[in-house]
Amino acid sequence: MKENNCASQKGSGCQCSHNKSEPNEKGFLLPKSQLSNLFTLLQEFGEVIAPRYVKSDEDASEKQDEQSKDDSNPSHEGMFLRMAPTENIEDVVWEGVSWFTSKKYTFPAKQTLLSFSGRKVKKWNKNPKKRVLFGLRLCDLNAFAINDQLFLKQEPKMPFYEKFRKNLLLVGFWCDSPQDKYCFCDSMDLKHIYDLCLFDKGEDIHIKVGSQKGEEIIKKLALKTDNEWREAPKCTMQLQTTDIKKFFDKNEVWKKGEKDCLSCGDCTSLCPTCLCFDIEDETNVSGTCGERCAKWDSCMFKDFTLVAGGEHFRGERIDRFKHRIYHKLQYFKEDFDTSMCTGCGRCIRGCPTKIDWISLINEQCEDQ
Amino acid sequence: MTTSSQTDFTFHKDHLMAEDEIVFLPIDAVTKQTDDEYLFRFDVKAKYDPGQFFQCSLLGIGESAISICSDSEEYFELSIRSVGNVTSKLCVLKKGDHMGLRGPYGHGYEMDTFKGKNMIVIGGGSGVAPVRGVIQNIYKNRGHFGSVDLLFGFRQKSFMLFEENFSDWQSEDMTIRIAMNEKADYPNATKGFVTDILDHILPNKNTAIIICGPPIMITFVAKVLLKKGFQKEDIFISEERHMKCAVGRCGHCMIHGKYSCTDGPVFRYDEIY
Ligand SMILES: Cc1cc2nc3c(=O)[nH]c(=O)nc-3n(C[C@H](O)[C@H](O)[C@H](O)COP(=O)(O)OP(=O)(O)OC[C@H]3O[C@@H](n4cnc5c(N)ncnc54)[C@H](O)[C@@H]3O)c2cc1C
Ligand code: SF4
Ligand code: SF4
Ligand code: FES
Repeated sequence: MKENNCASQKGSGCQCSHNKSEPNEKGFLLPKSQLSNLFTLLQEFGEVIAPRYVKSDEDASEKQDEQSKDDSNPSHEGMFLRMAPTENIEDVVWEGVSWFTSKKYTFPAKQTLLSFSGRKVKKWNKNPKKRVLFGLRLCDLNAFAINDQLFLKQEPKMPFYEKFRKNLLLVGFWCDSPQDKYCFCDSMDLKHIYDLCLFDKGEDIHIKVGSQKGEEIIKKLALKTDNEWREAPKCTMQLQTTDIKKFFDKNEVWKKGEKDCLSCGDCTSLCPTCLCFDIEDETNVSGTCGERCAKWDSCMFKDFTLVAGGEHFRGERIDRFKHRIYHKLQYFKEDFDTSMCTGCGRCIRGCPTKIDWISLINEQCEDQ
Repeated sequence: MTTSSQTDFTFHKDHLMAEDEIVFLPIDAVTKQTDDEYLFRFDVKAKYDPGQFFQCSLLGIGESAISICSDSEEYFELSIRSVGNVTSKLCVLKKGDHMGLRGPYGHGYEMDTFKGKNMIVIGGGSGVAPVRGVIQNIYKNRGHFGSVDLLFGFRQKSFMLFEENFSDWQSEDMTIRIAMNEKADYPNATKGFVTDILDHILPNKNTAIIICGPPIMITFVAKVLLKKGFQKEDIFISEERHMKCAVGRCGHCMIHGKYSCTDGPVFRYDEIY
């Protein structure tokens, strides 16, 4: 196994693999009969969050209660595949994409920045739970590296993000085939980023180790070494280019998608790398004590750019629609040399009108 | 948390919204400028460039971005216009009250790069406040600059800002022209918009133009100047956007791929248009 030479590991709290070198064939072999041993070790590390079916009215931030287990519903009708606290390996679902991302485990939808009483300020200084995110796909694993760029790898860091991030162990499931027709991860330049990653080999599981943290866990299992290599899956949906600068003024094409947009913000809330936020103060009735909070926001909302005087800088829906796509594919790359999109497909899968922006870009490539 | 004044101190920017970042400073002077605008002075040594801004906050109410409108190492001043939730509560603060501040943030006017140039400074309404720091800098170092033209647009006399500085500026050989669009009730003011007092401005290679004001004013003024033959590279505009974090994280202030809070608010015209 390659040494983890992640330069940012010192001090930054970044613990996952940012190996400059791509992983090789080497790994370890775990017989499926011993999966529960691995699961127990992970539970020793922290609360295990894994993909399982959750009823739409069930609180997915809580452990599963016995009542919501329902064997009479094998097709999981009315249920969502979600990342949720999971106590038994039998409940883990090994196929499919979780409806929501795991971004709330580093940046909750509402996060206290500081609390105050009069002029006395106390910064948020809790120690978040240690958690294992078990069963992340390569797209969602890469989202962590992208979010790290914004919140950890440049000054000033987001102190709370760093704390949440440090307490996570990322365990991937390798996709041998796309999970559904909305996946387009093979169009994006994804890296091998994980503490551990599981590859299905029938009777056994091949485990690749991507970090020190992951290695410490695997060490305890005393497994045989193993060689295995898989290519990324071939997705049905293909994005032909991420170089879209030249299409910016082609509103006649963007309009074909924009006309169906409801400005609902589902796409940005489902996106694993959309973490734009608002800052709001919440107080008691007399206003003497309270908290200053960061809350998820969305560039798809008109008031996102509203300033005093009533001006909206992206008041037209088409400007907002384009801003999201350009931020994902172009603007972020200008700053960080990597696209902000991981190809998880949630923004199309979850869009109430299923706006397929991938085809809009492909169409413009073909027009060239 | 620091509450000392009269001392040398630096603002902390290394932790985003951490406790040591918001500094509560007592206000040393408040001047009513117009019905809606108040000038706050803090006698605190701080290093900043004109055009940079502070996030001014009241706990429980919120934060607002406010430009620094002075140019001194001994003190700084903020001119705040009461327009909404936060600013209306900031504007009722009195001398001795504490204001929460973090910053200074953003990329301001790099005055050194303007040395040896003719300067044209154009401000509209409350947009005169951010450029007042530029003018104060020119005033203190008048020998470093060529001709200096100041052009201001206000609605009428009662909306004027920094009139008390005009005689100083004029005494240092700066010309002042004023347009008033509602009522030209100030001596020598022209009835109309700032765009109506640009006739005498002729393109000159060695000129820097600084524009600050409402977005619509910036658009029109820039259009007129470019038509006259000025180069985009010589025009510096202040692009103010909805801001929350002020450190390039929350996404609110993005102008295409640029962040107004960190790459701006002062941009060279060709950087964004
Ligand atoms: C770089 C910069 C410099 C500024 N300098 C000054 C100045 O020197 N003097 C002055 O009076 N005003 C200045 N403003 C404008 C000032 O920040 C807004 O008027 C103020 O934030 C309005 O907040 P509010 O809560 O009173 O109004 P509301 O309308 O209640 O605003 C609600 C929220 O919207 C956001 N917002 C609204 N308008 C603006 C705006 N114009 N700019 C940024 N965010 C906004 C704020 O985050 C605010 O919390 C500046 C703005 C920017 C971006
Ligand atoms: S989810 Fe679809 S309809 Fe909603 S804002 Fe996004 S693109 Fe528009
Ligand atoms: S697409 Fe919109 S909501 Fe998502 S990160 Fe970019 S600006 Fe923020
Ligand atoms: S104000 Fe948050 S990114 Fe600029």
